Order: sequence, then C-alpha cells, then structure tokens
Amino acid sequence: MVILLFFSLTFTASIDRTTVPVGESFNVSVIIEGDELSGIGEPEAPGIPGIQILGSSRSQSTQINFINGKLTKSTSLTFDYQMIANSEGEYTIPPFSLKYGGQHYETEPIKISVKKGVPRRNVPPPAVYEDRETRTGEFRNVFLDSDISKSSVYPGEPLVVSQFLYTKVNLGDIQLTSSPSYENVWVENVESPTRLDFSRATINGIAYQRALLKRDILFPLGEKDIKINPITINVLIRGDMFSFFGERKEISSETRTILVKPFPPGRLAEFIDAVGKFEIRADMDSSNLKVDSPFPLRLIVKGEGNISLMSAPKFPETRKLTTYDPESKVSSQVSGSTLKGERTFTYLITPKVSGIIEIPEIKWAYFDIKNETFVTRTIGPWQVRVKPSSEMGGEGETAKINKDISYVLPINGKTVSLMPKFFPLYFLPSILILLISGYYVLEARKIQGDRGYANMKVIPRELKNGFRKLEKEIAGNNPVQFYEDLTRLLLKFIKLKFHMESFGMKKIDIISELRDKKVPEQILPLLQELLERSETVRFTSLKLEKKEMTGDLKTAKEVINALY
Amino acid sequence: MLYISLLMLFSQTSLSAEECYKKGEYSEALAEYEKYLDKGIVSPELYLDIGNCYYRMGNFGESLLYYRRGWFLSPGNENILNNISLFSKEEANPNPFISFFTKIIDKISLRIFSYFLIISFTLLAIAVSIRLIQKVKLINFPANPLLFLCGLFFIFSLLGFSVWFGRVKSKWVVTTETTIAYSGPDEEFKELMRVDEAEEGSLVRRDGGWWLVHFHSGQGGWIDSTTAAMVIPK
Repeated sequence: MVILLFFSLTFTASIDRTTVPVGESFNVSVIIEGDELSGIGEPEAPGIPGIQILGSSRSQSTQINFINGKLTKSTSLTFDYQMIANSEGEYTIPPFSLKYGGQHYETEPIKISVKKGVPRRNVPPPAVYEDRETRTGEFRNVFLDSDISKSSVYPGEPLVVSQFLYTKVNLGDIQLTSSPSYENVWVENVESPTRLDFSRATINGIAYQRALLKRDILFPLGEKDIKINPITINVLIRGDMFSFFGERKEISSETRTILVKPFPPGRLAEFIDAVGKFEIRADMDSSNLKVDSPFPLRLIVKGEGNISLMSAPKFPETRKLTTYDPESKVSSQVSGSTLKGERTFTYLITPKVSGIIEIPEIKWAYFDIKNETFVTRTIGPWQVRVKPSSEMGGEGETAKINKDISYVLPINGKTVSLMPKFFPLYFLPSILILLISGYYVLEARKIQGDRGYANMKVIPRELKNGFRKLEKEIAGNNPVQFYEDLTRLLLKFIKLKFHMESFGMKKIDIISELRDKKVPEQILPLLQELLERSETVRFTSLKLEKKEMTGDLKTAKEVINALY
Repeated sequence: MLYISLLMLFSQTSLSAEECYKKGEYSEALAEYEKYLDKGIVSPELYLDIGNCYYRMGNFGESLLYYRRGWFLSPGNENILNNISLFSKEEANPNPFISFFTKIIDKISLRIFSYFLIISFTLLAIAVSIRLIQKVKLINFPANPLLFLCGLFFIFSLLGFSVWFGRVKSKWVVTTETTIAYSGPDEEFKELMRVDEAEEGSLVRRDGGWWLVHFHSGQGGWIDSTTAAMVIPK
C-alpha cells in the first residue's frame, strides 16, 4: 500500500492480494480520506497492460469521533476496482491520479504476481464489511472476520483459521456468546487470547483496529468441504455521538466454506491417511524371544502434518507371527501453520514357531502436499531368532484345541489304508450275478415266445436221458422195455423236432410226412425198420441178444443224428 | 515272538519321538516319525504328529500337507480338523441341501465309502436280479421296495465315493514360502497373483512341470509344480 500526503488529504491505493491465480478476480481499492471532500471526482484509472478492469464501485463514509473531549470528523471515499489477469506473469498496476483543489495526486504503482492455479471457490472477500455497507450500514464500523490460510485443501491438509474482531470505534465489555465451531474437521487450537490485543490493520484501504479472538489449525476429515460456522459477540459500542453512553449490540461473522479437493489419482493401498511429510523408524527388542511370548515392535512416524489423524501402517499377516491392533501414542506441537511431532505405534507380536523367523517388511504411504503426490516407504524386513517355549509340548497341549495345534497322538503301528486293496475285484461277484440273471431272463423269454426254440432246448436233454435209459435196458437184458423206450424216444424226437403228433400216427404216415419235410431219403428205411422191429419185439416177446439191441441203439443214434 | 519284537520296537520309537517333541527337538522327532513311514505304516495319528513337527518348525506347507493326508484317512478326527482349521476355514455352500450333504460326506472317509459302494452295489445287483426274474417267473418277494432302497444306498455311496475320489485326485498344497500363479504354463505369462505357503486348491490339468489349479477363492492360474505337492501323490 502506498500513501501520499498533501496537506490534509490522503490518496492511497491498496490491493487485496499480491498473488492471484490466473482467471481469479482481485480488488484494487483507491481511497481518498480527508476532512472535507465535497466536489471531489473519480480518480483516473491507468491503462494496465494484461489486466482487465471488470468494473468499479464507489462508497463513502463519514466518521465523527468524540475522543478525550474533542470532536473530530473524517470522510473517506473509496473506489473499488475489480480486475482480472488472464495470463501468468508479474504485473505492475501504474499509479491512479486525482486532480483536486488545483493539486495533482498520484498513488504509487502496485506490483501483483499472477500465477497458474485453481481459482478459489466459495471464498468471499472480507465480505462482512461490504455486506454491512450494502445493507443498512449498521455496525459497519465493527465486524468479525476469519483469516484463512488456504482457499482449498486436500483431506488431512492443515489450514489455519484466525478469527478477528475489526473495529473503527471504541468498544467495551466484549462477550463471546458463540464460540467458533467447524464441521468436517479435526481442530487443534493454536491461540485463544484471554485479553484482546488490538493492532492496526487495513481492509480495502480502510484502517481498523484488529484483535485476534481465536486461532486454530483445521485438518479436513474426508472430502467434505469445511464449514466455518459464525461466531457471535455481544459488544458495547461507545463513543458514538448519537449514543453517548454506548449501545449493546450482537455481532456475528459470516459462515465460510472451504473447498476440500479429492486426492489426485494414484492413491495407494498402503496409504495411512497421513498428509504432510513424514519419516519412519522402528525400534524392537529382539533378544530372548520365545514361542507364544509377545514382544513389542514400535514404529515411530515423525514429521509434520496431520500426525494425530494418521492410521497405523498395516502389519502383513503371516502364520508364523500373530499380532493385534497396535497401541498408539502421539506427541505434537503447533509449528507455524501445521503440526510437528511424532506418533508411536506399538505392535505386540507373538511368534508361533521357533527358529529364524522373518518379520516381513511394512509398506506405508503418505501424501506429500508440496509435490501433491503419494509417497511410498518401506521399513524392514527383520530377522529374529525365536526359541521354543519351555511350556510347549506338555500334556496341557491337548487342551489347546481351537487355540493351538493338537497334541501328538500315540502311534499304535496299525496301518490304515485309503481304500480297500484290490477294490475293483469286489465288484466281480455282483457283476456275475447280474450277468447270470440277465442271461436267465433272456433265455426264459425266448423259450416262452418261441416253441421251436423251446423244443430245440429240450431235445438234447430228452435224447441224453433217453439214450441213458436205453443203455440201462441193454445192460439189464430187457428187450421189451428197451424197444418200448426206443419207440417212445424216436416218436418224441420226431414230435419235438418236426412238430408232428407222432404218437397218434401210423408208421407209414410218419415216414410219408417226413419225406414231405425233405429229410434225407436214405434214413427213412432205417427209421421204418427200427419202428417195425420195436413193434415186433414188444408184441411177440421175441428174445434178442444184447448185441442186437446195441446195434439197434447205434442205428437209432444214426437216424436221430441224420434228422437233427 | 516277532510280533512282540515289533511291538517293543514301535513303543520304543514312539516314546522317543514324543520325547523329542516335548523337548522341542522337532526335527529329531520328525526323523523318528518318518521311520514309521519307512516301515510302511500309515495312520491318521502318524500324519497328525508329522504335521505337528512341521508346524512347530515353521514349515506350514508341509504341515498342512500331512494334516490333509491324515484327514483323508480319518475325516472326523477332531485333532486333525482342529489343526487344519488353523490354516483355513472352508466356507459352507450357500445351497443348504449341498451344504448338508457335504457335511455328511465329510464325516465318512473314502475307505468307508468304498465299502459302502461294494455292499450297496452287491445288494443292488441282487435286487435287480430278483426283479428281473420276477418278470419271467413268479416269485413272491417285494422286489420293488428292495430295489428302491438299494438304489438310494448305492447313489449315496457313489456320490460320496466320487467326491472323495475327486479330492484324492486333485487336492494340493503350496509347500514353499510363496508361489506365483500365471495366466499360462510358463513364467513368461502374465502374473495373476502371489499365493502363500499352505494355500490349497484343486488340480485341473497338468502341462509339463506346470499345474492349472483352482483356489478356494474361486480364482485359478498356472503354478510351478515344484512349489506345491499333491496331498495324495500318484
């Protein structure tokens, strides 16, 4: 800010920020202050290369103070120019000029740096002042405002919020009726003065007395925007000529919202919600380790950032080691606009086996605000020697079912096989049963359905039995019975074989019918002769030798063979 | 005399193995237990004890391998089931019928199912024969109910036998610290996942020294066969 003094008139220019992102508007206030400003015109705005003037507004205020018995009056005329720069670079706003009372006034040039960046969202300028100006004008000389260190943050990124009381009048008996409150953040208090300490501050070119009410560091929890709720004070306003003894009023700040940006792509599985800059080290007492006896592994994370909010690095699960959720201790202190300190995570690790065991490396990652990237770090692995537990292997181990492996069981020397030996062979009898019953059923069905087939099945048995019987008759030298049986056998054979009712037929008819059935011709005389001889022997009781009976049996077999 | 000598030898060796185990000398205990295997002795208790030695030595893949071998012989053995549960808990099938059936099957060993199958097949063959003969000859016997009951028994036995036989043919365990599952039977293929020691699954196919496997998670891939072992070797 530059101030030029000529007699009793002050002509100043100020800018609300010296660094702005491309595309974001900023405000240049040109203020004329003096005892008497009647008839004064608007200052001449310079041409500004690379910067565009979006518009301007004019406001005027008159202040009459009665201080120490003396009445003073001052008038302030403010011209606000809203400007915007469309490209990066270092710019100089040339002097504004004013002609008044025959004098020429000029402000000093103002430098501004325009940088690449994201325009602020939902961040009003110190708007309380403007609001009051554009409304009733009431209390415009007293207001509350928040000074916020950043316009947007990542989850977990710290930002400082300072709540100030601004006044241009004398105040008395200031009571805080509503404390500052925030939403979606973790709060670390930096400063809460018990006594207000006023100092000079200029907003939009207007000088105020400013006192800090509270200063906090906020850490966004998640990606929801931060909401800064209004604070309210009850204040006695004194020194106004229209209310000499003062007037009690309640003044509130505005609700403010801070954008919380999502993390850039590339978030890692090992991310422990740490935002800032951190280092890690490990501390472990690995002497005299025993199975089932827990020992501590401490991971100490040191650095600056949201140290109170980070979660524990994940301990890789292994069957050789078990662990539980770690205990954590934090020690931190405010340093500038962030927290510095260290956080200790203590893991109680229980070895489950003896020998050289490797504690696997632990991967973890934090978000580096400065470079806006995730940074991965690893610590470990470590090798430890674990001795067997002195309690292990005892009888008590049997009772450890569902907690540990079961105790060894005695071996009795018996062998248990997975499957019976020669397993497929056990199915053979059943298969045989099935085959036999199947064959039986098929045969039975065929015999039942085909008379010829059935007869053919019967003939061999009949012949076999018949011949056996005839041989017995020969042995017993019983010619009558022999020829009777021979006749029956021949007739039965002819009946079964040729489906003839041979038992009721004459010999001549049988021979004739057999001839019709195209049996070998030369066999028919033999058959006829056999039948006739049989008849003769049966009816004449002719005595025959065994030799003759054997010869007739042989002939009978030849006949049957020929006819079969 | 020979029997008494063998009994004395067994009881002596058993005591020695147990003593070594109690002292925490697991590799010595293991060597003692392996003597039983050399003698051709196989039992769930022996597999359990060998698995325990491997477990205490931190060789979890081998440990689970032997527990599983014991489980195949005696699936209802509480000690073996407890030790297997330290490694994995197989989730029940969401289908209540299959879950119920699996629970029943898991209580009966392959050996018992083999006997069931032999008995049920014999009974079924008899019932079928009677029923067939009844078609051609009058036999006063309730063949149909018998056939139905024998058929049910046979189906149950066959299902149980098939499930266990499938397990015997396919179940494997990772025996190295870790192995990698690839998309094809070579290290040149895409790496799908890292599989830890004592993971288990079922074998689908072999291709040279590579196995196409299924994991319990439902995922699959090719693993180097030297990093895993079949629970029941060929």
